[in-house]
Amino acid sequence: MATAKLHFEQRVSINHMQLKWKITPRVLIICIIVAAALFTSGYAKLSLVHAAAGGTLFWHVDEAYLFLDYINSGVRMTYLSYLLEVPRTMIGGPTLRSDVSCSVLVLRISQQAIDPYTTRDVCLGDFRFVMGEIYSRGGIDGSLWKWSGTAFIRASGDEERAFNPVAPGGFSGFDNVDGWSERPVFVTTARDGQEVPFSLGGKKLSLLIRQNRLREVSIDLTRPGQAPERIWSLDESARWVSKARYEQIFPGAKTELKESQK
Amino acid sequence: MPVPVAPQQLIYGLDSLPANLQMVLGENGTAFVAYGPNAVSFNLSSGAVNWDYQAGTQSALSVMEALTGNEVDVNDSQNGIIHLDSSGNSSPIAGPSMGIQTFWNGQALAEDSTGTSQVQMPSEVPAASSSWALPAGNQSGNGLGVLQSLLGIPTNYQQHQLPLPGLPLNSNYNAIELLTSVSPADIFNTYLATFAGAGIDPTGNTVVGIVDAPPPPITASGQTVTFELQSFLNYIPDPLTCGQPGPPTIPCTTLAAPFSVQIERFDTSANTISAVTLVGHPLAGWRYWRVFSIGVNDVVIETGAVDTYAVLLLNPSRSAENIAGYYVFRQRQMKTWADDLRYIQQKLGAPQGSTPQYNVVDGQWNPQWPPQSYILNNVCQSTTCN
Repeated sequence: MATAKLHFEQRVSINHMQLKWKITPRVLIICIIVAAALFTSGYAKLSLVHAAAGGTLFWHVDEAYLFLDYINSGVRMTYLSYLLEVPRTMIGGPTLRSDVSCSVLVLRISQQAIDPYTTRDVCLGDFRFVMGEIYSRGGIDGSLWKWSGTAFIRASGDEERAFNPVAPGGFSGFDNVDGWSERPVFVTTARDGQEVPFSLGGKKLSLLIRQNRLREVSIDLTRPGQAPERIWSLDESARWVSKARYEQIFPGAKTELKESQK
Repeated sequence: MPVPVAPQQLIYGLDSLPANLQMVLGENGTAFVAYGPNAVSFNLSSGAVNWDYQAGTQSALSVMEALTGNEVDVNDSQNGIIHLDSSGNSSPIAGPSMGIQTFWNGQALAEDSTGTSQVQMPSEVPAASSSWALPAGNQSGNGLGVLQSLLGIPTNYQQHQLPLPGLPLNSNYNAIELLTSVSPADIFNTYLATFAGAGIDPTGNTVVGIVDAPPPPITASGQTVTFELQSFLNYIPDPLTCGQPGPPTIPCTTLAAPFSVQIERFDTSANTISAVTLVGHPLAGWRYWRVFSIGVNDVVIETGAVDTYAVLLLNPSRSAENIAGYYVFRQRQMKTWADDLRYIQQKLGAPQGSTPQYNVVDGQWNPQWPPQSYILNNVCQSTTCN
């Protein structure tokens, strides 16, 4: 019986042939692209920010103050981490924030105008009316702050000692204490359609809180005989921002980034 | 057992067998049946009639759905859809309809008698806690009893979600002792009854946030508080679910839906609040919050829970997520309440005491003390709740 003679290609093993196929230039390019994508997703970062706010209204005879405390939280994470947030969220894991910044916006409402005053870089909330003054304890270090009429300033040691942490106000509101009244506008959550009536100069005004499922919150002011006026709004949904914008919102993050790049 | 409603004699169906009257289970041993112009609520075990609603002689009634509180919706062939309360008092919902179509998301559409328009039934009324709240079991009519909310779609569903028998019950406990002249009653009213510090972390690393609650503070048992996982992905509204009906205060989210608890005990004399998880919550169990004095200017604020993961018999993937999250992130559950205790301490400006038993701020999982019986006793004043 004649024996068959095999050509070289017929004699190489299957494994060798498969290996030969795997390292063709096309496969090599695909592998490089995939590796680059994986490397980039594990290195390149995206910036996410989220804002939330609370509100409290104080008023007396002819002026009202709407205190709105903001907190911006942010995170810079790699694209790979962002993808891992999906299963993490599905099983109940919260996002670990990198940065927080706070500020307080105070809208002074008179019968003629609305004047805004902003105090930056202070985390306040739970405003308290004590002996004719409005105080709030800082959320980061527990320091006591007082409303001066145009900004929040650090309270004195005497004021710290006299401060009553369960004084009227905060979550329940009060009526006519030394001529002042208070209502929580939204403390833990906004209630869509919630109306907060108050009076200035004997005239009845009201704030109308609006919230929708897209996390847009707004406040409309209604004066007697006038159409409602939108005096404030906030988008509380998370959003992607550029690195420059992120560093603008969280100035501390810029320092940290530079330090980490050294 | 004789069915307490007409007919008085055997009625045969097209298959020459006795007609099978369709019954629907309500709550606490109550069932409903309709035949001809009658709709009857009766006691399942004794057969005693609770009430017998009788429509006009030309009407043919059929039960649409049993509702919470042993109320029921029936379809009257002559007068349309009628709501019957727990005493059998009727109120109209929609005009005469040709057919009712119920959906797995709890909604129902009734087509009017002309066949030209459809009426959406009120969807805010949840189905009864019975697993047979619909005729033939469920929307597919395949005889499989199912709670509407097992699919987790109505996030504001009011049914308690209790631990299933056989699952491991675990406890966790956080406490702080504060040296302050502020009374326990003031702390209770100002901070516990408001959930003011729930999940508030000054560094921004909160675990959960409250998205819906009574206007603070909590004032009675039966009130509902809804939480939301603080994940950035949850803050990105999902365009698909945002188009679905839902309370305006509940955000539409993609991955982790808000979850709720119901206040079970509101006791101002003991300065104690307790809550039970509602269907849709990733946990099943109870938690309490309490403040009490252990000396002059010396108060303790504590919170403890007995719970397990929520298992949804018809939703294994959700169950798997709950099981994984329960064990992977159990520290996060305790962190929520550690943040709460620290928030209260900070707002009071009070130094911390030193009694070891009451200074477990970061929380302990299955602590030696307190035992589960202590926690459950604070929840419901018994060692077994619900």
